[in-house]
Amino acid sequence: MMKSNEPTLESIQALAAELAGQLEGGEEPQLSIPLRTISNVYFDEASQSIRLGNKRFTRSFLNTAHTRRFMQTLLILARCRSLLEEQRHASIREMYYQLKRSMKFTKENTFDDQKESNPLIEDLEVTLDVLREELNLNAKKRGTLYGDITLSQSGDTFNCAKLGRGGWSITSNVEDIEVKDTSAEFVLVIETDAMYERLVEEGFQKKHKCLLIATEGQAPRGARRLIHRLSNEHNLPIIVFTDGDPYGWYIYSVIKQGSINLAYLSKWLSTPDCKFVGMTMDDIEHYGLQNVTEVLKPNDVKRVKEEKKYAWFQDELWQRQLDMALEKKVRIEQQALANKSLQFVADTYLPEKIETEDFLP
Amino acid sequence: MVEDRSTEEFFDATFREVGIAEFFRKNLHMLGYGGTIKSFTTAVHEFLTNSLDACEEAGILPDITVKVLSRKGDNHYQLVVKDNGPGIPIKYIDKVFGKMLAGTKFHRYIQSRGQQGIGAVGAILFGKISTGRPFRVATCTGDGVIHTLVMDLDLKRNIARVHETIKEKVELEPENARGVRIESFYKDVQYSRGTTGAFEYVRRTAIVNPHARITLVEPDGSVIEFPRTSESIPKKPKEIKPHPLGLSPDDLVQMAKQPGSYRKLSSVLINECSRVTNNTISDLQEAVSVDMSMKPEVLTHNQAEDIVKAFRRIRLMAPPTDGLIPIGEEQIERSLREILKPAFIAVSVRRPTVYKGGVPFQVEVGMAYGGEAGRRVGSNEKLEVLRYANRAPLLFDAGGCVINKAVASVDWKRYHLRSIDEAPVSVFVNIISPHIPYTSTGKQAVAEEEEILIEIRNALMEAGRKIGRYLSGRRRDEELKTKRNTFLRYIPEVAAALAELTGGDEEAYRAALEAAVDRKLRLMETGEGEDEEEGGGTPEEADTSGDEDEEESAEVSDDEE
Repeated sequence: MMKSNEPTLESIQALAAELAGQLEGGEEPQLSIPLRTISNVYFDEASQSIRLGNKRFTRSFLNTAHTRRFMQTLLILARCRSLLEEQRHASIREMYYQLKRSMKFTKENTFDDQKESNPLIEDLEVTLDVLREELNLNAKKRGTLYGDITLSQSGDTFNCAKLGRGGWSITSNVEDIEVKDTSAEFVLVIETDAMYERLVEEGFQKKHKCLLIATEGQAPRGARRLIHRLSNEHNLPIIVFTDGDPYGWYIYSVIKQGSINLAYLSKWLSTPDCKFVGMTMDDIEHYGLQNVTEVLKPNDVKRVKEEKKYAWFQDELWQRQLDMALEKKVRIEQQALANKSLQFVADTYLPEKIETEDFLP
Repeated sequence: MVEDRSTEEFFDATFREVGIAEFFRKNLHMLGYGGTIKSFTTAVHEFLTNSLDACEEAGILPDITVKVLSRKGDNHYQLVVKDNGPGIPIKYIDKVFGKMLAGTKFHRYIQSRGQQGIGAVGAILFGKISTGRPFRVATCTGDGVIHTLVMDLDLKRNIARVHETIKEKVELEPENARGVRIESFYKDVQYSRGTTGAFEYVRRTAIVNPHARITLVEPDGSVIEFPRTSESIPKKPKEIKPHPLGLSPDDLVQMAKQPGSYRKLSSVLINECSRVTNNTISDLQEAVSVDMSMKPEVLTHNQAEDIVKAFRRIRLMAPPTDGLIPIGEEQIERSLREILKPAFIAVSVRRPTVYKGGVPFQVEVGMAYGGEAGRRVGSNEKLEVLRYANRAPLLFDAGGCVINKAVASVDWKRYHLRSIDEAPVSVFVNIISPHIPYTSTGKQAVAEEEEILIEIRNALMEAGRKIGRYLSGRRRDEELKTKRNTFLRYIPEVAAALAELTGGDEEAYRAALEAAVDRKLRLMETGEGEDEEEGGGTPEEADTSGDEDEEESAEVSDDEE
């Protein structure tokens, strides 16, 4: 379902024309960009997701603190335009390498690190009000889907339980995915690759009629978009399984409510209906895991305290978890369950908690 | 033998009147002849000062050559100082060079750079003692005849002996054939370019005498010209009568004992002191029991003491200060500019005032920044303090001098001089007074009189404010230059990208961007573009830090590649 490039190209032309107009009118050349920081996001109760506010900032060519990024933003904008005209796609890493070179008449590089170009691409998405994919940019794919679901993409139709144990690598752009059929009754989203492989080996997805999605850490956009679609378009319940620490819990919250940085995409990426199965602080007592906890480091404690303040962590059940973490000063990994036995997670822990709906909201 | 002699016989045999010159021969350090470098500097000082004074008194723009020649043997030098002054009439020659304390400016209450009239003779005396050689004087008073004399000192009789006279007829215009040339010899001394050496002395003399052209020829043949930067000869300082509050009891006794001129003590005070009137005398009479109509010759020291004390209890007008002749703002500036070639000069000339209630003085200060200002120690820049008293450079005893104390008392940070000791700064201070309160007979440091300290300090701060304004302006200029370069660096890329996006003309965009940069910088210069770094709160921080950090831990792996 390739969309027409025209609206995106028009937005780019309009922005370029605005800059040219500023120059001709003797004004300072500057870009007005929606602010993507916590000061400009709010938690929208109605949609249960993080949304972007109305604040904007100015990136001015005539402010030495901005000049370099102003130049870089224009380089990316120009390259996106040529990608669209040539109808080619590039990864955001390719974009970085395409633009990296010495600036004219100097020894200074246009870009020194991909960390410089990535946020500027996000700035352009939000300024032009388009998705990265609409600028013909992709990210490296990350995340795996495994289980009985038949998809079609680019003319191929395939069942994700029949691709070997490695499953299907979730592409960065999943807009062109079509779900043909599935026998799954829910989706289990797993933080770590190792836990994913454990559950595949135990045949968990077959026994419990579910799909497994490994996010390999923080869920990339493609995985989030896929989870969103499976929930919204196919009414599959989403259950998230992460480490019992502030980072695991934040992975869950990003899947559920969206992130601060990409708040402008929450509408597309968040899945407010998902539930959290573990690990929780209560699991430690309940499953006798006291010996296999890890100590919370000062940075972890700081992170817990930050999360306690976020509007989307205000549910009392979550506040209780965070308080317990601060009190016990420990964290618990998914794989600590192996302390009981390798099959314990598949045979006991998950079935028990899912059966009794022992979830956090 | 000895015990057979009477006391009188013993005295007859051993007691001799010690001539003043002979006394000084045994106490040369009192004249500044101690240490190899200092001794030679002192000799140069004496001749140079005499030449400058002679020219000024005669109303001639000085043109002086100081030539130092290395002689055979360790630290052996020949010193030749030549001026274009009025010359010395031949009949005074032996008196001028023979008699100690026989100068023309001894015991006058007047602002003068010379010391006590023993100067040049002291130098010649020192030369004779160290080498045994006679000295040579050539003089011409403009009559077309040059007299060259080879002379020696007779220390016992306080006169100079002429060994040989050569008369030479010259065919020059009178004004070109005038002046004095003195050649003398020294051993165990050292010519130095250091802070207390002869070079520094000549340089500092040149700074305060912009009307003089001074040429220095160094032992290695180097010739250093200190050019004339002013055509006006300084006004002659007026003789000022002493103010009562500046008098010591002994001054008063000496004044009263001047033979036969006054019948009453009150007349002495009225005529010989400034600011003493008949009314002052009535007030004084009420304050002291000494009879104001007594014969002045019989005034005792105790009575004088009572009068000096009584003067402090009555109302007196401050002394006149019109006798003080400062170098002046314009001349100081011109001369610092010529010799230090600095980037910036600030001068502050204070109004005359008094210390100890009765001694007039005036302070003038110049500060030079950058260029050749300051001292160079290796590759480091250091503060240089140029101290002067009545235009005479003070090179020694810097630590004990009120000038250095005043410099140290200023909070230079306020004037953008964070570490002034390591700044390329020369601080020039000239104290002018008919009575400079030196710390010792060496006359190389000025005592810490509170009023003088405060005046110097105020003058320094006044000049410091100007330097501070200059430095902050310069910093601002550098900032703006850096900003301009930053903007200009990115223009080609921005213009190219914009041209690619719009299909417009890259050159035109480049020109438009350059024009925008110029406009922005003009605004910044006038301070209007000052919102530079503010830019609306957290805007660009959003891209790199700030709130983002909070999120980084959670979102760090979000679509990295």
